[in-house]
Amino acid sequence: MIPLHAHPVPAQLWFAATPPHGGEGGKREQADSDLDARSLRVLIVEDEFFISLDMQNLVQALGHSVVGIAVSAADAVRMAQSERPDVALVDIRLIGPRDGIDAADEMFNRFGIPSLFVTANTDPHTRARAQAVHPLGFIEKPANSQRLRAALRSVPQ
Amino acid sequence: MPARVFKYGIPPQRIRTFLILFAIALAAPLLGLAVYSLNRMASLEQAEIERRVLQVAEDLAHDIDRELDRAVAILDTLASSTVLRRGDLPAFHIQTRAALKHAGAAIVLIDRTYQQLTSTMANFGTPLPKTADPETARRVFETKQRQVSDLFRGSMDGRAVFNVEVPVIEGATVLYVLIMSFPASHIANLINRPNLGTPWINGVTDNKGVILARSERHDEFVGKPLPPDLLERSRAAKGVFRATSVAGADVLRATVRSDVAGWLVSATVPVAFLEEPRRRSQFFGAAMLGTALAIGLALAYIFAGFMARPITDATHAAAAVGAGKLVDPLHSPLVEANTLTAVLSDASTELKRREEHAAFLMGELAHRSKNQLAVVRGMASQTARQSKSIDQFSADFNQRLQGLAESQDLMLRQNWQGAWLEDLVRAHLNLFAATPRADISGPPLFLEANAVQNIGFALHELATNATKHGVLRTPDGHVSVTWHRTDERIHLEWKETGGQEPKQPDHRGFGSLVLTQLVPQSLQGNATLEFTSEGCRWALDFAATHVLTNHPPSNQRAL
Repeated sequence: MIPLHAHPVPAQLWFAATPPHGGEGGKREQADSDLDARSLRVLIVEDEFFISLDMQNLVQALGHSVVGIAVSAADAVRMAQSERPDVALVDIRLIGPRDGIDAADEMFNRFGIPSLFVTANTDPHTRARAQAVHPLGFIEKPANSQRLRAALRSVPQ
Repeated sequence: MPARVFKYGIPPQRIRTFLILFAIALAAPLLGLAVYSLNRMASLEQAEIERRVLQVAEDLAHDIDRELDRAVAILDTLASSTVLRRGDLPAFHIQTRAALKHAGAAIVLIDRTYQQLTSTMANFGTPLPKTADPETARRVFETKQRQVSDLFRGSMDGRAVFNVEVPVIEGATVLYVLIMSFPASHIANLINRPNLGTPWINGVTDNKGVILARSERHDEFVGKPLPPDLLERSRAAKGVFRATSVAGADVLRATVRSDVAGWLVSATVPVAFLEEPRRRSQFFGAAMLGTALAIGLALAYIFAGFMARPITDATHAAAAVGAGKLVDPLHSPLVEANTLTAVLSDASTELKRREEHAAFLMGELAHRSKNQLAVVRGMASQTARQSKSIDQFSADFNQRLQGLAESQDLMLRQNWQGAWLEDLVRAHLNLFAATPRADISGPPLFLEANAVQNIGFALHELATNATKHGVLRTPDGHVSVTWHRTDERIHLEWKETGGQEPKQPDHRGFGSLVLTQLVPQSLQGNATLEFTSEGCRWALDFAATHVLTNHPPSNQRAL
């Protein structure tokens, strides 16, 4: 698997080579990064690429860096081991046999990497399971810049 | 709810009420019959007692007549004596004394002057008085028939006596009257029947209405007149009537007339004595009836409970089902209630299950829709990064959204489980009206939801590119989409042919990223993208774990 941070979203597009403009980043990016002095190294664990790319943009716009995007629990653990991020943004439903709660649990126990769950409306049972692995918090999907910034502030030094 | 609440003319009642009515309907006729029988029995008993009283009176009258007849027979025998006809009175006196068997009685012979000629009470030759009862003798002389006197006081000793008198006839004339005189106590002894029991009192009243004999306290009552009303009723009586006795008691009385003497022979029994056993039997009957009724009602109450309680419980169970609660089947004595509640229990369980399933689906739907919103948000921001203008963004974004909608639509039809690969390919080609120029072939494969969405994205990027820059711009352009399965891998190929020098797209564009990295990564597979003079060729290889085996039959395909 190729970590996506090695392939930042290109300025030139496949069928319409145009430099990026507008979008989520741009002017907001400058303002937000001023507010968040500490730059974090963030691992994104999400199997929907449109969502993970969006998250990547948001995280970067806040002045942090994305160390990788994992689509499964196994990927997440492996990337956590090699990249040692400060925090992982974890979707609970992932492809493969294990879910995001599993991944968060293992990343914290093995590498001390805390997780923020990025979830859609989850049922109480799943929510309780997620709570049990002591995440830093929950971010409701669809995530936006404000929610993300607030959540990332809780990452310990 | 119909406007008319009750159909049968009565307001709705609880089952217990109907059971009580049912019990009453059963018991009431029986109760009536029982009361009727008791009354009937009582009146039969009454009739039997009356018959008995009458029977006793008749027996007494019969016995008295027989006794009088016997006296008449003795007297007739004596009257025909040759000694008497010869006028030999001393010899006749001896004969009469010999004929007299009954102690206390006397035989007297009188002439037409009522002068006693002989009397067994005195030796022959002793001067004798005239008879104390000339009236009866006179009738004998007149009628030449035997006569029985009423009560009178004897000429010799003043005792209460009565006479039986026969004529002694010589030719056509009555020479003498032969008399047998009895003390009234003789009849009293005759009518005293101790075997009848103490309360029975029998009496004889003569033609003048004077008491001649009484089975009880004879000496006290003999010679006294019967009270006029009692006498009146006794003379008129046919059978039994209620009366007040001379002793003042309330009695049931039967009076029969003696054929020989014309006397009134009565048998009486106190009403109180009769009614005592009758009252006792009525009380006993009522007590039995009451007990039976009480037992019956108690049993009816118990059995009603057996029915009413389960029905009530079943009603509560039905209400509980209505309120969305789980109910347990009843284990009552009533089979119907058990069956009913078993059905209700199953229904409540099923209802609960559906409720939970609905809640689960709602939760799932909420999750999916929020997740899809996140996808759409990402799609919008990625499209925006590539767009030169709002118009271009709008067009591209709408196109991608349409593609996502197509994939979703397919899954929606398969209950969110996934979609057939062929359906997916056709749906995305249809969106660009490219199906007529496409060759689609491969075995039926039912993909899970994640694969559907990602392969859908890839197909969409390919079709977009083919339409804008590739083979679908040219009239001879052709696309073949094929797939096959080897062991545990699925191989999918998009191959364009007939393109006329297609534009060489930028390898580092977003579409390229989707096809070479994002989609394969999401499927944990590999993809290659290459461009030839005829068009582009894209090959995807992914694990067969994305294919569901417990999918719906292929003939239920969505398209």
